[in-house]
Amino acid sequence: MPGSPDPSARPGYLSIRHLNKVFRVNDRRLQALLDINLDVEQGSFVTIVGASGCGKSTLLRIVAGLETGEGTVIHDGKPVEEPSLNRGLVFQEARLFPWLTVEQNVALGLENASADARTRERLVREHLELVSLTDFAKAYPRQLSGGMAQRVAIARGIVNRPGLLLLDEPFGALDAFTRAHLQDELQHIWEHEHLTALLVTHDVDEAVLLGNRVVVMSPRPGRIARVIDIPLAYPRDRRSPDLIYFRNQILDELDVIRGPRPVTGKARDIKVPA
Amino acid sequence: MTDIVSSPISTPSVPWLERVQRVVTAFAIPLAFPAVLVLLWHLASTYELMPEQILPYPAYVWDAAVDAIVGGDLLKQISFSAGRVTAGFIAGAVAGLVLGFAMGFWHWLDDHVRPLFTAISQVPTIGWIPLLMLFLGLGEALKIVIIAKAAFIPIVMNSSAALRSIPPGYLEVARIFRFNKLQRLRLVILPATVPPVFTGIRYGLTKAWTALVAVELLASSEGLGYQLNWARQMFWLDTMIFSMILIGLVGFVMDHILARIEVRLQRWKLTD
Repeated sequence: MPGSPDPSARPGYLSIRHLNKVFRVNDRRLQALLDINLDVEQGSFVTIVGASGCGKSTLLRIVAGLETGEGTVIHDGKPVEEPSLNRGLVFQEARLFPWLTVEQNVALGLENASADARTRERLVREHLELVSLTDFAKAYPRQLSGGMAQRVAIARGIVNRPGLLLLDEPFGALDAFTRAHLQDELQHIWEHEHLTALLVTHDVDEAVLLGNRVVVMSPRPGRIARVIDIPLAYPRDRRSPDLIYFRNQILDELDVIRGPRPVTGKARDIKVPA
Repeated sequence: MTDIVSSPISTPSVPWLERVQRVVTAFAIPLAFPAVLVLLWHLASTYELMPEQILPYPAYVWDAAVDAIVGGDLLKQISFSAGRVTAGFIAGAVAGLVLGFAMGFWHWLDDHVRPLFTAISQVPTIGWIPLLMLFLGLGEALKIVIIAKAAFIPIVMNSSAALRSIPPGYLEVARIFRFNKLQRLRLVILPATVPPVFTGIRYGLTKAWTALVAVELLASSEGLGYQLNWARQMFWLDTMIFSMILIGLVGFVMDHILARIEVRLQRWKLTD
């Protein structure tokens, strides 16, 4: 943002400047990310959408501190060099520890928090309630469905109230009904818990439904093709026609739809089975 | 919630009849096949398919067993064998866990040790007895070293592999939550390695027990293996067969106890 004082100094602000990432695969250089510039303001919900291989997950992992790139990444006034309790991460797979119960898994998020035992217990209970899994507190992960496991992972990711919640295709492995359900739950949680979220997805509908800003990335090399603001109020209804306008813009940008295809063959040649 | 597929763990009270049925199936199924074998054995003796000196009646074997139990001789032999296998197994298991985990942690150590280790493990335990007899004589040391070596090999293999097989995704979760070394050990590494390590321990105990019998057959004047060999020399076939059954039973009981401990340690794997 030119003109204004350096925004990266603001609390809770994520600022990415000239970020590059090169992988070396069998002596070949692979430019995974090319000159990424991105800002995430406190309280916003930014979604990153792109085809697989566009580097969106790599970008998120760099922000999480799991990987490093060349360039500047500043979150909450401090350069990102390693993971921080101030940044939560929810993976595509729930990655719950199978040897711990649901409540013990959620409590992992508080393992290094400065909270006494009673506060921890209360926070775990509140967050299980938030994801509607109170009855499953003592269950083991293998007793949960995929959607339930992912809700536990979300509770684990936010129980310590990180300044920034990172979500790496969190619903990518779920069936369509569960996914829709969890998207609505996530909207609700984000709004009511005043979170700041950065979500990566390959699902355009998901990106539009959840994001107040959508970052469209394109592959080889991974770069930001376009940023689209979506000034629609939350909670959003997936049936809303307003979303279609933004969805189509993104589909155009991703070059997914190439217009009507020429019909091969003639209609009368098609035999209708009796 | 629409995606609830399983209900929370609950233990509804089981009617007593169902409980009896459960006990019957728990014992009837595993015991059916042995019972058929004993019956065939009995028939084979009755119709003298083999001379009685070679294949005695099951009842004679039973009598020999009762005699040994009443006379107190059996307890003596078992305690000799059990003492040896305990000492050897503990020595082998401790050494195996230390080396196995060290190899899992430090790749350079693995690189140095594994080729020799693999070569040594290819020589069967019995193959070590002649050499070790020269070094250690025929005393207890020989037996304990042989048993320890037998337990050592599978425990090293399983515990070194266990550390390598921890899913990297779990270690990433540990990084995200900034676990220190101790937390990583307590919350990730130890629980993740329990199943394969315990498999190694169980296998090691089986190996140790087998090695005990082998070394007692060759170089001993007491113990179950000795009793087996001595009974053969005296042509007391009933005692010989009884000794074999007993060796099998003791091994079965030991494995069963370890299996129970294994279940305890990984309750999370088995709950429904």
